[in-house]
Amino acid sequence: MKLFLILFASLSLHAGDSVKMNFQKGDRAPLSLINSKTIESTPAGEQAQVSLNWKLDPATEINLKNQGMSTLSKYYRQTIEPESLFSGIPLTISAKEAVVHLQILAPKGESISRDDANAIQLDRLILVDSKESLHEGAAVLEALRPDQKERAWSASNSAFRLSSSLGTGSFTLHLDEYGATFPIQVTVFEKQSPFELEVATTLTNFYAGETFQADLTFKGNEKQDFVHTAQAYLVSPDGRQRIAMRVAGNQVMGSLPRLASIQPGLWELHFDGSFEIAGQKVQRSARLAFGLTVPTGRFEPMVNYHFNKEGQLALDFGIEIGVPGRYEVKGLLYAMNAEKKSVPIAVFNSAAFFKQSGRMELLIDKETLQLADFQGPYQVKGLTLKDQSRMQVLSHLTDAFSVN
Amino acid sequence: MRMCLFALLVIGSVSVMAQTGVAFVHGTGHQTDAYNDYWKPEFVQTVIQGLPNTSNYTVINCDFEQYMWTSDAAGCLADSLYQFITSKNINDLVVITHSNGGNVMRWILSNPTWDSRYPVIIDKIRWVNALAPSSLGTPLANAVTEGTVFEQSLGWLLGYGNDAVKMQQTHWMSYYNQNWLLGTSGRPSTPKGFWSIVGTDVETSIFDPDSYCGGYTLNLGLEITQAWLDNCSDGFLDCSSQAGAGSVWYYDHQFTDGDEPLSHNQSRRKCFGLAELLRDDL
Repeated sequence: MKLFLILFASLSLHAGDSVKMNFQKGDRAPLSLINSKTIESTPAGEQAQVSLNWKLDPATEINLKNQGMSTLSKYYRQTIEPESLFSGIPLTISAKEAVVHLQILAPKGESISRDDANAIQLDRLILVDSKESLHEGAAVLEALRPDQKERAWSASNSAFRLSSSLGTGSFTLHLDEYGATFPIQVTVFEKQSPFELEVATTLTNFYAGETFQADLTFKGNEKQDFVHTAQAYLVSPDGRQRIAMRVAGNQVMGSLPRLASIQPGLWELHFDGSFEIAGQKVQRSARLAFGLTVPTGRFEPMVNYHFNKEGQLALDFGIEIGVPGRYEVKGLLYAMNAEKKSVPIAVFNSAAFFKQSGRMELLIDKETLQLADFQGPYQVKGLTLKDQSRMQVLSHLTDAFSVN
Repeated sequence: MRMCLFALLVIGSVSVMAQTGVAFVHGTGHQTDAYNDYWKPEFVQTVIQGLPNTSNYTVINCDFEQYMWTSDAAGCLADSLYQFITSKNINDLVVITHSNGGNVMRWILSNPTWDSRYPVIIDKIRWVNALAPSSLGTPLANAVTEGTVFEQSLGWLLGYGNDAVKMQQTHWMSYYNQNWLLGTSGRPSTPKGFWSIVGTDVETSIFDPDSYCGGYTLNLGLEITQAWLDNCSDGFLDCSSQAGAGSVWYYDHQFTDGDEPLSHNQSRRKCFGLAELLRDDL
């Protein structure tokens, strides 16, 4: 039977055919390409075509759809200027045993002297609750900083955990003496809080010039969350570029820049806001990373394929490029198992340097096709085109095409 | 499971004499003498006793303060592994990584078309033993990126404000795992096995001699960092991050002497039977 299937597979596949890629909702492909006049030169790298395929366990559960990016937060961060220390540092606590981390911030290029670094003395902190009651001492503010000689962390940092007896609500933290002139960054970690903010996008990679959008939700909280105050901005990988975003309702949105240079690393959304949830004030900060893609290349819609004399499946992709560079085609091959269920059987990869638009052929050998155990139609899923020269994901197709 | 896989590999290559080698891949940092500084001789010398030829080992020295894909990081690692494989005719390579070294190795496994040496290296690898890999990043990298906190306690792990720290932020690793790295949940597997050892706790009692294995002050720093981490962590990484890619080989207490946990510092040291476990795996 197996031999028959192999013969059938060999005979039924003809010399060459082509198929159109199937773009569906959620798939990503550039509508137009940037050209080499508008982008910096291509970095050096591997010039040869390199390919590698390997078999997959057909039981592997693979998420083919674009998942988007999401981040969870049970912390918030604020920066306090020295002059505002006199009125105290406002702390909103939504869970017991919150950890408060204070850090003296030196301006860029300046270092903190030893005296300044020791300007925050934990035993001089006083916490005032909303009823004007004072709390101080190690029993309520448990220091998380050991003796300096233990080299726990740098001197300009202090941290303490609030006693569970303090409960939740609004507090003010007072430092009765602060000899430094630098601002203090205050971070509050609320590991035990039931209020976990999720910031999520539907995409992992945005194209330059597109609209960025992210949703704010509190996990497991069905009641309407009211945004008191919020600010959000995008930060470039090198930190030099900041773009203000709008926060409307529970959504962050704004326009992404059109880039002429591409920095290694990721862009980030920085969000800081306060919410009212079931009558309780909750503060949260969040950082979310995403890729910003300059469209340097894309697939041509038609793919050629054939089975060669050696029984290999040859897939031939047209690659249209706007900028020379090294481009990679990567995807998953699915086939039908004995129960006629489509299962993943292989990963295929091939990359080559393109000076101009052209084609990339990759071969999947008989061993990887596992003809004895699986049969067509073969489906190509999770197909991506990447620009390796600039570390960009250019296209993603969930269910790209079938080879019959 | 691992032994079954290895048995299959051996049976499949009976006609070829296995020339087994082992490579030690350090974590974040720019190493120039990782043998003495990062791993320590007693650890390496114990592990290589499992080799038929104890000279078939290499200790990698690269700049893992860079992004994993750069020529100073993955490029340097590929250079070193390729030279080791070709000069010693290694055809059965076990790679032992620690911390961020697992990410750099997983970069090579996940992106074999990046460099023509990558497929050659992958072909020779039996599997990767990833000691406490930072596969899903760490909240401490998030904290470090926005300030100087932990600069002394974690300087030996992270360096200061470098790209590798940025990359190991949890939200950055989430992106790279979805787009550029294989082996995490919902993603295709790597072409060769990626087996992690997970450290679950840090013990730093001044009265407990076990706290001194690997260095007391380093372990103490790690206990403090646990305030930022899950209940299950090795002081630098949540267990979920260490177990986030490939397959878990062991949680520390499943194999260590006295069921001791391995802190992030101890998972690269000759502590509680770790080196012997790796030796016997060869």
